[in-house]
Amino acid sequence: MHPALSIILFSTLSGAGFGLGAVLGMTGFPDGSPVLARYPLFAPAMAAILLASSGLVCSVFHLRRPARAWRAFSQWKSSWLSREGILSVAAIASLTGLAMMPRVDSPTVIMLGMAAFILCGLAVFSTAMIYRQLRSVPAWYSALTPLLYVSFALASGLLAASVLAAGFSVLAEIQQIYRPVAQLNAINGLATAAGAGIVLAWIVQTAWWKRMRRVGMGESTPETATRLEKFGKVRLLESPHTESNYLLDEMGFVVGRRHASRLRLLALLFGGLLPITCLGMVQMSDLPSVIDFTILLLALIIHLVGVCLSRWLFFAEAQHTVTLYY
Amino acid sequence: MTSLPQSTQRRLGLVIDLDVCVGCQACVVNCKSWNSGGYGAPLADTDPWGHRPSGAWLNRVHGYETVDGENAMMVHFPKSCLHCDDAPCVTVCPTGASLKREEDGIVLVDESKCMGCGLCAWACPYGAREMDPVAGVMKKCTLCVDRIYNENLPTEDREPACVRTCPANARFFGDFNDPNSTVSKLTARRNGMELMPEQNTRPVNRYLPPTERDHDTFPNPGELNLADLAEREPTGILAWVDRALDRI
Repeated sequence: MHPALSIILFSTLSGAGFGLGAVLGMTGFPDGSPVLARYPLFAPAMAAILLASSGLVCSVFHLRRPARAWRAFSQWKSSWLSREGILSVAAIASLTGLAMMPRVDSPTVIMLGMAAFILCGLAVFSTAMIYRQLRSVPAWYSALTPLLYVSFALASGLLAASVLAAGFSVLAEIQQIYRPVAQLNAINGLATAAGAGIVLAWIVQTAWWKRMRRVGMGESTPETATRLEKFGKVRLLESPHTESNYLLDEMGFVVGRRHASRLRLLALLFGGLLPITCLGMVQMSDLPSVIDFTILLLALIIHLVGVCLSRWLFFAEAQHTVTLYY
Repeated sequence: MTSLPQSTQRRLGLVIDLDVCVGCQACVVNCKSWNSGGYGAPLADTDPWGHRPSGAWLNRVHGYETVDGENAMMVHFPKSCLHCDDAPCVTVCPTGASLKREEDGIVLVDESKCMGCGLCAWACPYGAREMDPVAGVMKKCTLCVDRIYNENLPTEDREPACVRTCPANARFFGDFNDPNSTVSKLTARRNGMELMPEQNTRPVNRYLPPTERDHDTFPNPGELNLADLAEREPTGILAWVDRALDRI
């Protein structure tokens, strides 16, 4: 399948944004109250909204007629892509609500937080279901696909939350507010959770890759595609067109598959090993908060590059049954 | 709505006879020709006279070779939308542009609603949908919906362009819900096949398999030397001439 940059950026960024939104909704954290007293959840909620909506903006570039994108909210009864659009908007609305809350402990915040947690989770789940539902792409047609998207969103979200927590700690120091122990514990707790999330995501990714290699084209073969099985082995003798076409450009993508094993290693390095090393460095040593923040920010950026690489492979390595006709 | 109808009153579709198709590409060309002037945006091409011509076509003829031991066969294989009863391309559509008609089962795209996301083309296991490179909307076989009900056309022209033009009579159009239609009878008699049944799309179009070729009626290649046939030993007067010439 053609790995469109717009779609790769979309699923990586919106995954991270909704992951952060879910963490924020669940924990009410990162608590920036000493820093941003008026709207304590404004900064973290905005960070989640910005990440998620920049992803959504990227996805619009995939459309050939973007002016009609509003119609995509209409078919929620049957279409996962439509559900994803609606859930994304709803999740962003709940995060906007959180951003406007003047206190962190009111019942409204708890209700909104729960809504944000559920909606962000569902938004990522429905993104994955767009691919999971396609029987024509056997590599995607598995319950492991939503698990993959959700676990990576959680990992990215927890990592982004640790960055924010460290950032607030820096701000608190600059404003000469005493760096509270609770804040330090929160950074450590989030960093530990992020590490666990990254490990979990890579366990799922490994299982997903293993299944992809095993499943290949599923039950479909050139013989079932043409139903000429009783005449023997089927092979294309005359191509129906002399040059490439939409079908081959979109579904027959093969460029760079020979680099797949190297790219898998790079994805693991950027998306998993380096961020975990960074998280370990922050937790093991007693560095100044600015250094902590810088290391964590770097870890997040490297991690997102790694997720992009794994998403590139998600598309580039997946085979579509139409290629059986070629 | 892009939900599929429970059932359709008629199930219009094609029967394609793989025994008869000679791969002349007339159906491909007439399809392109009709659909560049009929319903919806014209079927566009990019760089049509250049080095890398490409474009949207709704019907393409593949040529396959089947090999079973020493028996090989060539099969011309036209492929277009199969108008599936469980069309996955319809349900994935987020905008409501894709639909399957309740009255006749035709799978269509409402081009005024299509945002060109391409997900329906991904969902189709057969590669029946192609994005128009100029209009940016999804194109697919309409079963020539603008011909079959068109009262401005003579009655004999009210069938899909590919069927109308086929010089070999390899293509048939009709209602699969009517047991007395040509397509139903041909399907029953010749054991019409669904493509990729494992994809659970329940295609309406059927393919009639090629008849079994005769096997092993030719002598074993080891017993027959074509070179011997070409250089036969001369007999009679020619043999004498042959010997005489050798002696000179």
